[in-house]
Amino acid sequence: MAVRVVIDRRRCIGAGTCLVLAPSAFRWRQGDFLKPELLDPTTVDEDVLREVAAACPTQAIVLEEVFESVEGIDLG
Amino acid sequence: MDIAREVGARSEEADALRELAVIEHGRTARSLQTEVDEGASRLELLMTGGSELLAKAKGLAEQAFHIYEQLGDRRGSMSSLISMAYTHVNDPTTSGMAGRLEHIRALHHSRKGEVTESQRATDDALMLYSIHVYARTNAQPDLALARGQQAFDAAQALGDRWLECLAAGGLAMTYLTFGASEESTPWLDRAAKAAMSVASTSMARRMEMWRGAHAASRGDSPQLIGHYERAAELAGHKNLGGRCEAYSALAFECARLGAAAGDDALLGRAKRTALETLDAVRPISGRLPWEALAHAALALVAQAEGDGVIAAEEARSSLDIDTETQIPIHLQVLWAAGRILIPQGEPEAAALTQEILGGFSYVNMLISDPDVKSRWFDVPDRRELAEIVGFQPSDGSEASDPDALELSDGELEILRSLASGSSSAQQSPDSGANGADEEMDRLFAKLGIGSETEAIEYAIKAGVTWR
Repeated sequence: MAVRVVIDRRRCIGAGTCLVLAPSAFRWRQGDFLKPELLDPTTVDEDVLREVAAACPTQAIVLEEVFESVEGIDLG
Repeated sequence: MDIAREVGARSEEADALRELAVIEHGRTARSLQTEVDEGASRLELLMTGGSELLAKAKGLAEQAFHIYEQLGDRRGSMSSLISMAYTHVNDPTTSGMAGRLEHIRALHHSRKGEVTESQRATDDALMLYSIHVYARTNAQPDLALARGQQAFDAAQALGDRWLECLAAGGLAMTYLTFGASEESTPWLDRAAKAAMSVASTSMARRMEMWRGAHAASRGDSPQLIGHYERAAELAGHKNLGGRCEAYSALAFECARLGAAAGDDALLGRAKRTALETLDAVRPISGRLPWEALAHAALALVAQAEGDGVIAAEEARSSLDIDTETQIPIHLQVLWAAGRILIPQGEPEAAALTQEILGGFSYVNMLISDPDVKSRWFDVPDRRELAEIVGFQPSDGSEASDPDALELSDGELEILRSLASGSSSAQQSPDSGANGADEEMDRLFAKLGIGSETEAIEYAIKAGVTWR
């Protein structure tokens, strides 16, 4: 089982919690300090991503379970 | 937006309005941040029309919200509610974030009937936990304690052992931020109890990280080494981030304790592990806070060994990476760099002094509980840094305790509304202008102030915006 991480930018308010909890998976989007973007989610395990999703104040981090590796993000 | 209106595509019109609100807000925040960077006072900007500047963004988000409501698009409604909250609080720069989160929570609560009670309870537990994490990682320990406890209670009520463990561990770490290791212990025990029901490698690693931090705060080096080593082992090769996190914490704490005790064995361990950290982060792209911490550890080791040149070089690397990551308030890095670069009179000493003074003043304003504030500034590393830069924390007497003043619920509500950007005319729509004026006069008399601006300042300093 693989997990794909999606940042819902409509919900994101740029609190930066994802970067603090998983700085190798997220970073500030270049040229836009208000929003994060994915850096390398494969550097952390799935539970860390679940923790990041739970700690996002607007639930803007969405984890989608997929049955095959998507965009190299294979955490299975 | 114009095209969507022309063809009657309401959903697309709402999407466009909300995006315009985000763009407008970003533009205003950026322009105000530029003013702060050029030396303007953040507090002054906050007091003088932050909400007026954001009125356009707020209006756009409100229009989007009404369309989504008409269309029954819950996801759209929530996202525009978030945009509204984001623009509602006066301060559009980072210091207002905790207030924004509290406001989103309030707005979410007010939308009765749209979700089931169980969904609302789950959402609320997550919201409380997220505010706890934000406050803990942004130097607001009193808010972190309040929301962490509520998140823990909510998780227990829901039977969510995973969230219960995270909230308990988060509370234990919050106590450590102001040196309260004894008060941290029972929360660590609660986290361990909940973790037994979760039984995942990731949670076991998290527990080892928490225990390592707890041992470090007690100055117990054998224990901290054991816990951080186990955390690194549990992270393995799959969780490279987790391994780097454990290595960097181990290196820094060994350097800190080794330097304080003049312990060569600990300093040697710090150096080896810092180099291991820098090696481990190499495959990850981008600059990472663990690198900054590893360089800070190397700086402390060099200073303890009497090599001022290497210490300054490592301290500079640490600061540069820390700035590049743009992750908020990394006090360990500031402490290490400050104790090396400032006393040595290095070229960046003046700028670093100003940065540390600004950071301390900010935290001094954010923490409203006088006991927590005094203990936060009394942590030995911070006391040392405060002495180096000449900072004296206030005792909180400038912001009288609202409990001692016996403010009524109505008066507290006025303060909260003012601090969240509403004008006085909006305070009590049901009580009429005269009633609202009288209540405002009574409030001003109790606080000994004469203007709404002073009331806002009081509300922020006394923490009534989130009580």
